[in-house]
Amino acid sequence: MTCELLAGAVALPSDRVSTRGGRRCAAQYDDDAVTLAVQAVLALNREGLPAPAGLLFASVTPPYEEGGSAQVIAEMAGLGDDLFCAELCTTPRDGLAAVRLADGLIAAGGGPVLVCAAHVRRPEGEREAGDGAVALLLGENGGLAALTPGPAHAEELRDRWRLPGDLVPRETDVSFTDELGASRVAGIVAGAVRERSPQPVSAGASAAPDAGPLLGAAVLVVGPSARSGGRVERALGGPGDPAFFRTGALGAAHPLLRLLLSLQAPAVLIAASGGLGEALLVEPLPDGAELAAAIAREVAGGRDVETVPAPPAQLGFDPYSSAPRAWRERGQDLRLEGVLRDGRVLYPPPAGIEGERRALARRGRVLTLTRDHVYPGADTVEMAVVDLDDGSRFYAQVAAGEHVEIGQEVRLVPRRLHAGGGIVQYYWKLAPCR
Amino acid sequence: MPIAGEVAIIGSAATRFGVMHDRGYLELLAEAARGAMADAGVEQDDVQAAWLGTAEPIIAALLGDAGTAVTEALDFAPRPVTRVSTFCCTGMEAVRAGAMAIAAGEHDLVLAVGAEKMRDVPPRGSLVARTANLTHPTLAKGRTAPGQFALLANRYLHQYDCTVEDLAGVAVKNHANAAHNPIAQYSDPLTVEQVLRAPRVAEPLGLLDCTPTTDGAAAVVMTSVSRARELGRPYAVIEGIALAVVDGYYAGFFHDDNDYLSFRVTREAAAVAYRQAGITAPREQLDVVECHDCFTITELVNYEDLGLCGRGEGAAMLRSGATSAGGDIPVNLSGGLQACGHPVGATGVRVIKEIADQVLGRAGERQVAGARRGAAHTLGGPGVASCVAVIGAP
Repeated sequence: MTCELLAGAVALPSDRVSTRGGRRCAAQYDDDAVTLAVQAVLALNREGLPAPAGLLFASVTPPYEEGGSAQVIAEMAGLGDDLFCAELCTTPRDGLAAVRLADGLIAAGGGPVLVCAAHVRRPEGEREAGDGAVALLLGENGGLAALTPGPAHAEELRDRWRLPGDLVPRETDVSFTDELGASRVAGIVAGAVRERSPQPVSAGASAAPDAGPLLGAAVLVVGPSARSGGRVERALGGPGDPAFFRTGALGAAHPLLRLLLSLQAPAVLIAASGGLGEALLVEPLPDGAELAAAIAREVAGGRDVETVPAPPAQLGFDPYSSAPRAWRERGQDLRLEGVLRDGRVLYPPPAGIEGERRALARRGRVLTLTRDHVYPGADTVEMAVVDLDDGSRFYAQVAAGEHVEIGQEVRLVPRRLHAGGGIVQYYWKLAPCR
Repeated sequence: MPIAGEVAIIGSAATRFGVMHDRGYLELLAEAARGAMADAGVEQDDVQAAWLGTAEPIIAALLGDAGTAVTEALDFAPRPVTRVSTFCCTGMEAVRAGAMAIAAGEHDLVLAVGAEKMRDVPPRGSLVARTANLTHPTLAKGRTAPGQFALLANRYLHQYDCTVEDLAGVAVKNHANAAHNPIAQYSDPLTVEQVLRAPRVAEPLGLLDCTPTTDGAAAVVMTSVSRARELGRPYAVIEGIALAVVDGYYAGFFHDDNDYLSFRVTREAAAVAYRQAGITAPREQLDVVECHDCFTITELVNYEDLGLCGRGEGAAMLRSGATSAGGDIPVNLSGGLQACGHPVGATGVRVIKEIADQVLGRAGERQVAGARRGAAHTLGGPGVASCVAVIGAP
């Protein structure tokens, strides 16, 4: 089947830290794979588009190894509760696998489907990784590109993995990963593309002379490491990864970032890691190039910083938490819903007052603030009171790494507050409008 | 019958306020309660009921979590004891509850005692850390007590003719006053420069803009005015006492009728207490005020909310010297929370005692000559509760 890309967006932290060959996106400690994914979903231009019926989340750095994160993304992005949610957390290939599954859902009448993928760099063992998320809305008609899942491959091949309790991925011999793992699987998938699809995509400009049956479509490869992916891609005649040296490798989100950046011309996008390979044929439609250019600007943007502060020690900080409370108040916490009364949104929603639930505006202006140096959850926490654009009031932390002033325009951004009691508590913080 | 004008304070006492590692909660409570009964000239057996104000028993092994602490400390069985808790209004609520029992005719001699043991844990492990952990998992995360008043301070500095030096001036004034208060936690004078150089707590507030954490207890004994006359001992009259509550806790931060420049709840409580006491021009009709200076900004805002000056005029009033010792309306001659200290549950009782002592002419070196009527004020939570009492000479 072929589905269409209806909208695409990225969430790339604006801080960029220098790396050996370029720079990478660096998130603050209060972002994680969920908050980045929510930001990417919220950044989608969904105006006039149908509401998604499904959400697929791909990440090798999900906050919960078991128990799920996709439902949090659905709540914070206000996607409604009549949604099919699932997540793939196996290898960086899963970003592309999610597109295949979405395509199947759409073909079965279960679309449109939101696909989002996110990655947060682990402090050890991920020198080339960056932080970021990508979201795609996939459906049937009127899109930015036609997406056709191609061949897939699976074999037992360990290049990078984690056992239960591992925080940092284990890696096998780099030479095995680089020289055999990705190249072997990607090569098999590329070969299958040639065999199955003598003319899978329309002609493109950047094909290697020996691309053969791929007929000029650029071959883009995302491997278990940027180095291995790049080597295989060049061997297959691809143009090389334009994002890696600007964002770092974004795990399961990286294949989707490559997809959005490829919308200038037809491409065969291959993701291969952990013995799992996947191909997606990408045929841009007329409006695709504009989105690709916008994404390229975001990839190239950001602000250079020397480093991003390490998470605060949080000595003695062990917040009360309760799963029943978190569930009961999820509308207030995650969807920012208050009660509409006399044209105003009362927040937090007063107990016992019936009324239409309405989400708060996500922009406003700072009424007052403080920088608090004694809050045990951070070295300094900036708290601000904001008059929102809908006339309501909000009080919250300023996002880590950000500062605001009285009178400044700010926006509400999803962030991770704490993990008291072992439950990751998400909420909204404040950040300047840029 | 109403409370106003009908309930008398016939005895009061307070422990020393401060960090007292050698004194436990029950010991402090007992010292204050027995001192108040002795001051009233009554035997414990004659006291029919008691109210206990303790705000944060969770930092003192849950002692004071119920009125039974009074029973234990005083061997008070089987008489009824009720614990009340309304944030920093807790102590005044104990007094108000006892006064209501007198006014209702249920009892004719009652005890109200406030006690708090805050320094069995270090300051950083005290209220700030406990509340940071135990408060609402989303709505209050990032909130501290100094942080919530710092929101007001920054807005006030932005909006009005007020500087950080003015804020510091509150601490300087109150520390100077505390030099004449034998129970005060701090009695050394401060300079504006010292206040401004102190480590920042929640900007713009520094360490010396903030009340300390304190151990202490205070108590009053109350009866009806008619019985007080029969006893033939000095007494002060509760001319008015009112509690106002305008919100829950966390929600107060989010409500758009909060201008972060004042506390509506103080104005509501003052309006009722002043009406009960027949006060229409507070600055002219009051001789002395004890108000809730938990942070320096709070005192300036209290001037306005208690009707001592207009909105935005708090700093100018401070600068004029009107609220200093010798001014026309001295405020916090005890040193206030800033320097006398702030054992939360005890504070509301202590400020009632301070004003009662003033109108009885027994405030020692702090005495305002000829004082006949004063006001006591507490403010609770992020400005969601307030208690105002007007205490007068008979």
